[in-house]
Amino acid sequence: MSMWARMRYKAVKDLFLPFFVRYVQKGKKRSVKRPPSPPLRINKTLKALIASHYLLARYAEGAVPVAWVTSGAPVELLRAFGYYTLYPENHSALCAAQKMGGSLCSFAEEKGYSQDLCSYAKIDLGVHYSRKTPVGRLPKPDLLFASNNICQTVLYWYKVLSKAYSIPLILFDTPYNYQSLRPEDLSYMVSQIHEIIHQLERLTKKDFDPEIFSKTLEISKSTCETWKDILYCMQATPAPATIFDIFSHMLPVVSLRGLPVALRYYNLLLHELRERVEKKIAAVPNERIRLLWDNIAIWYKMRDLSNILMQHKANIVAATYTNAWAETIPYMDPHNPIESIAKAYSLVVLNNNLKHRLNLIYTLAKEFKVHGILMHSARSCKPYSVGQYDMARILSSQYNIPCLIIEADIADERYYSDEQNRTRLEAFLESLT
Amino acid sequence: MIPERSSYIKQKKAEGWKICGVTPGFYPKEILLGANLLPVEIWDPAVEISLAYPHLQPTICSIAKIIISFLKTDAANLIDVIFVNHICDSLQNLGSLIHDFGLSNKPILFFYNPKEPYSSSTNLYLKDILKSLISGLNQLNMPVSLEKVQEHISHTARNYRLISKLFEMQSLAQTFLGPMEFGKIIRSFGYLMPLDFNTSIDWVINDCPKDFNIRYRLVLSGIFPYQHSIMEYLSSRHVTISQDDSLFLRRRIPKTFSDEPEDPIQELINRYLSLPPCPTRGSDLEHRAEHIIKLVGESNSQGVLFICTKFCEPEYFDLPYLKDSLDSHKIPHLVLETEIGEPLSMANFTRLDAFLEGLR
Repeated sequence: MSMWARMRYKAVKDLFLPFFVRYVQKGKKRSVKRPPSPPLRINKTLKALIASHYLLARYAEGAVPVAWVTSGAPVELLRAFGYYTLYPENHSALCAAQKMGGSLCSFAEEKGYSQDLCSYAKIDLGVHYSRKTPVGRLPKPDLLFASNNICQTVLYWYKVLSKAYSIPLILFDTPYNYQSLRPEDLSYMVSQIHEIIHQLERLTKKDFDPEIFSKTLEISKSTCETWKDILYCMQATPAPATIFDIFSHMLPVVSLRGLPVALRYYNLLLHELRERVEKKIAAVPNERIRLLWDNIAIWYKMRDLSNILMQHKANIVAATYTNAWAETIPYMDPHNPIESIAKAYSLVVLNNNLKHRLNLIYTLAKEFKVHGILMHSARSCKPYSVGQYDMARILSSQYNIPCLIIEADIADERYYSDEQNRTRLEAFLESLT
Repeated sequence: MIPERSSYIKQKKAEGWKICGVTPGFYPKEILLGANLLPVEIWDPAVEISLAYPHLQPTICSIAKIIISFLKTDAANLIDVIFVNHICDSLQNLGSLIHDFGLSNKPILFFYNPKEPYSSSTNLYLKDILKSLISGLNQLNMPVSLEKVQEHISHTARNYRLISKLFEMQSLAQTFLGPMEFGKIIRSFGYLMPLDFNTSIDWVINDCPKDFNIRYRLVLSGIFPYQHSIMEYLSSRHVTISQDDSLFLRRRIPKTFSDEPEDPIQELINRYLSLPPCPTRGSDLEHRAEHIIKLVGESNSQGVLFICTKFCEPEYFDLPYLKDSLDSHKIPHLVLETEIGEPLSMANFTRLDAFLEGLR
């Protein structure tokens, strides 16, 4: 790490960023169609937060250690060593939302990566080969940190990145819970965390500070709790936001988890949503149909889906995806940090059995008073998608909750059939009224 | 000389053995045998694959579909226990699907394959999960005899030696065994008792007629390349399989092993830790490339044939790196994408022909 890079990073962070945030918050005047309900005031702050996160990342290279991390990895460990963290999954979602997914995937495909691989991974590899990104530039990582609690794919993907950047890859290996968390699985994960700490000490030449770690965990826990409160604002009828708003606001809990800025941001969001609940401001005027979403968002189709739902006075008010960062908070214990993060991270929905997911969907459906379920069968995401056909059958036949399965992809717009999905969705919504 | 699978299973069942249907991947075969369970691997039984369509998306691999389809047939009644290896996302969820949503009424055992790089925690974890497997079998009233485990450890050690010997002979053109016959023998590794497998290989090594005219030598890689249509094609083109890097065979054969270890459990752990590189265990790409290049050199092969099962993520992610590494060593290679249980497409025949032409 060079002194010049550190000074530049500090100057950007402390002096330039506050002005930049204000500039972005002010925003450009755009002639957009007026939405039927007022947009969230905080959207501008979110935009500024994302922009400043990626801007500062550019100056982090060479100034502080930079790690690329999977969304389900226990990032609190890295925070204790001062890593600047970036989330390739989040960046891929951002590229997809800008409708750059297909073209970036094709860069990876030209290099020999199969069309059938996860599009998050292909976008990331496409960015590596093409150097194209909507955020300007990504800093070269010093470390890769992955956990296979969300899928095994991240391991294969990060192995490729590790070779491409010639940097170490640390894996937190989390056995899947077929029934319940077994003591042997827990002790395996706990001893891995101790090994990871030693590895990080060697890489950063810093001693592990348990106090910073516990404090980070406390912030993470509060952030996830606040995130849960935000999600539960959607129980109100009418709901104060749409799931597409909530998807957009996931970046802090995913990418900035363990940092005070994420917690501060969510307190503002929670305040605004509670205000809207109190004033009965509906995200979807005359809300008639309430739905639940299963799987990752279809990032490049959020606006189109939102419009179709709005036309039918339907709103998606809950999602297993957004709930993933709220579900396992009770396990986080700053007084027993190592074991508690092992539990919290290994019991996430994608590392848990399908019976658990079915029960979760049913519980959320009841809690949020939904009329039906939209299941996104994502060709990129096997752990989220395998089992959905059976779950949909059980939910409709045994629990009397209608389900619609939409075949699509999370980030590659080439696999989305507009007409087919619109027709099916409209027919489903009509059947619910 | 090789007993046919279904008649062999019926014969063993009549002898009092119970049958354990095992999904692809590495598993501690000797522990199952020690519980009087005959492991029969479910790779490609002849089933109507459409039986899986109500459960799995079109973008899921044919292996997962075949397993589900098989479990819905009458043939699955022969199975007493299902053993699910957790080696990829699809098989992970498949195990849960079978267990949680009643796709089978048989008891299910799960086995996680811990990922590389291995450390002291991996060693301890393997010990714990092997013990947990033994207690799981006890709970199913299938007690594990450690003496029997020990006995099967020496039989499998001999399996490994004979397989090495067989490939050595193949690479030196001493067996003259065409892929059709060779494939049959190799496939029997997935259902024969280790002792019976040794007998089959002994026959090949000592008494096999030498009537195969070799024109090409290839290293075979992929998940399950020993499919009938592929072997038939390779036989017709006088290709000999001089080495193997498949999940079905050599990626499950440890580099170091002992015949009569003091502690059978520790021996099984050591075997796991010394398995050749495999993406399903998260092996390093460079190690895997080096391993394949070494196989090519040692067996004097002319190239590498990757038989990839469509939608198999662990294999797909490694391929570009492996292909680049082979290119840098001027080793010809070809990737064929296949669906297990389906014949090779015309396009694949054409590509194979062109590849073999280039090797001349």
